[in-house]
Amino acid sequence: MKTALEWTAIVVLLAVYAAVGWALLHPHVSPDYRAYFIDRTTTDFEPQHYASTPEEGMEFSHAGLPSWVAATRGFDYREPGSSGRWTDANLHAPPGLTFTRTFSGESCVELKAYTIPWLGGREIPVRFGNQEQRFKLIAGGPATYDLQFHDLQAADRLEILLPSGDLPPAAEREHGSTDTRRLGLSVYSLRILPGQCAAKPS
Amino acid sequence: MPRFAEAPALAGIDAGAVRRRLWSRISANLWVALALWVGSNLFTYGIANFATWEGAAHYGRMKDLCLWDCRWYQSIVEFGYFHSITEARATHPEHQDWVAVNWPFYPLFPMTASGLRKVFRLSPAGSLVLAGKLELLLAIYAFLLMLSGELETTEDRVRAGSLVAFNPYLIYAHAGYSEPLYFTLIALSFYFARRSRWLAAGAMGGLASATRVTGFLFSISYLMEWLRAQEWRLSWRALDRKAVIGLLLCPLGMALFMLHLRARVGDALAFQQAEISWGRWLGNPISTLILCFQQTRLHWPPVWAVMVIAACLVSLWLFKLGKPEMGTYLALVLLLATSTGYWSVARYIWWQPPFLYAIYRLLRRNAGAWLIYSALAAGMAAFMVLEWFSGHNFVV
Repeated sequence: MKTALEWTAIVVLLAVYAAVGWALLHPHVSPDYRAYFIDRTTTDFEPQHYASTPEEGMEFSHAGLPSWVAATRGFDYREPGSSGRWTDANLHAPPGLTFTRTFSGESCVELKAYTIPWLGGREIPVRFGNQEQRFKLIAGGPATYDLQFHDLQAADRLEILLPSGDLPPAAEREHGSTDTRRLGLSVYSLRILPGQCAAKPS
Repeated sequence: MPRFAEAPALAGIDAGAVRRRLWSRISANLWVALALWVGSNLFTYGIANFATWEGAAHYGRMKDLCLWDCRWYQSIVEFGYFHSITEARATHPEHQDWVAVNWPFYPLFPMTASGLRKVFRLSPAGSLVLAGKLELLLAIYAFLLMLSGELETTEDRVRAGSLVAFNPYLIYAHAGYSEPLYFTLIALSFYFARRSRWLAAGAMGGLASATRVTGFLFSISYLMEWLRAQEWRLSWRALDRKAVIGLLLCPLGMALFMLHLRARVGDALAFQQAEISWGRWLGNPISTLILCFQQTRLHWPPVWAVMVIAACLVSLWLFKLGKPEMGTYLALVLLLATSTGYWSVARYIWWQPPFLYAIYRLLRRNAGAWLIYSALAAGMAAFMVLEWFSGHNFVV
């Protein structure tokens, strides 16, 4: 009788651990939960959306997301009082946005950002749907970049392809810092304008 | 034959003498634990009142000590584990921009508080603080039990127990944290395992694994004790089923918690995933230590790094003392704690029975050293109680 009880206890306990193994391999979660907690591609979870247009743009210092942006990827949390949001290569996705609508034809993407000093001068590709453009990062202060995209075909995603392998933790480059984030750009704002980018005054 | 005629009588006297000696030891441990527990409460009460005189602290009742992580335990006592982020935000509107959930906080401690809440009709915060304080009494007693083979006099017991009761981080025993419960269970786990009481050791280990994330690591120490009892040989033919059950019990608390989270949230690892809300994920412990020493703006990280290094050396010394199961446990706890950053690492060191056991062994060689240690520990404990109300997050 005692032996049977002991073996029963062993079998029951092993069954519990088998159930745990199954539970680990089969999470039952929403796409938002998976992106935030498991895949860690975003630090926005079920953000609140506010009315806006792509021409009005998105201010990254504002809470929530504009109605035309579904989600951000690869951006760290908003820091209180900060003008923008940092990209962080620790997050498992290139920084960018997914949209609630698509863009076709010609569009001008106006991006205002501050570049981490050790990225200054690098040429960075930006992928918008099926098109890609490059721009040179200017260190030393916030800069506005205009990127012209032609012949977009139902583009619903924009990605900034920073060289994540060349982005060390900030603590390794700044004396006294304990910031373990692998920073790249602090993005202040982004607008998407139809047609051609406005010519810059000389 | 006189020898056989005397035998039954001698057996009766021996059993009685053994029972009296046992009761004497139990009562000595109890009285010492009780006296130290009262002293610890008076100490904390006194220093907390000083904080209201000069530090503008808000301390009028026991529940006012429930701050920081205690608030998360409070949410578990009141609402249980949040079903979703939406529910969490509805409960804590101040955290709209933050994904703040109570999943990382293990269930056993808030369950004990819930029991007290029902019995004594306390507020959730009050029940948590009371639970922590009562579990401190158990922690002191459990530590004395763990050291029972090495404590001969009342003075030995007082010194050993004071390492718990006047721990430099004793605030966590009086502020609704799970440290005292965890300490009790791990100390009892080691106590029973050393005596080859496998079912009891496994049960305590299982409860510890439902108290803090490091509790499941006792499975390794249990295995070491079992192998040592078998002279480092396992015979499959003569397998001790009780020992096997005990080993399987060790991580059971964590396993059941994971199943609960799978049912409630959909993710068995929700307790670990949610740590990223605090910017904590598994990383390189060496990098954590290097970052501590690179810190120039905050003063505490280098201090914590020194504590970690000292604790690593202690874990090696425990091997030399013939306590490899304790040394291994301490080393694994340090590895896990420093893998997620340096915040809260002090609690992972100072509320570990193997670490305090090593301090006892170190100090008992030198009576003068006790005085120095006691002065430093009391000073640090008083400082932590004062700072508890300051709002500075180094106390977390």
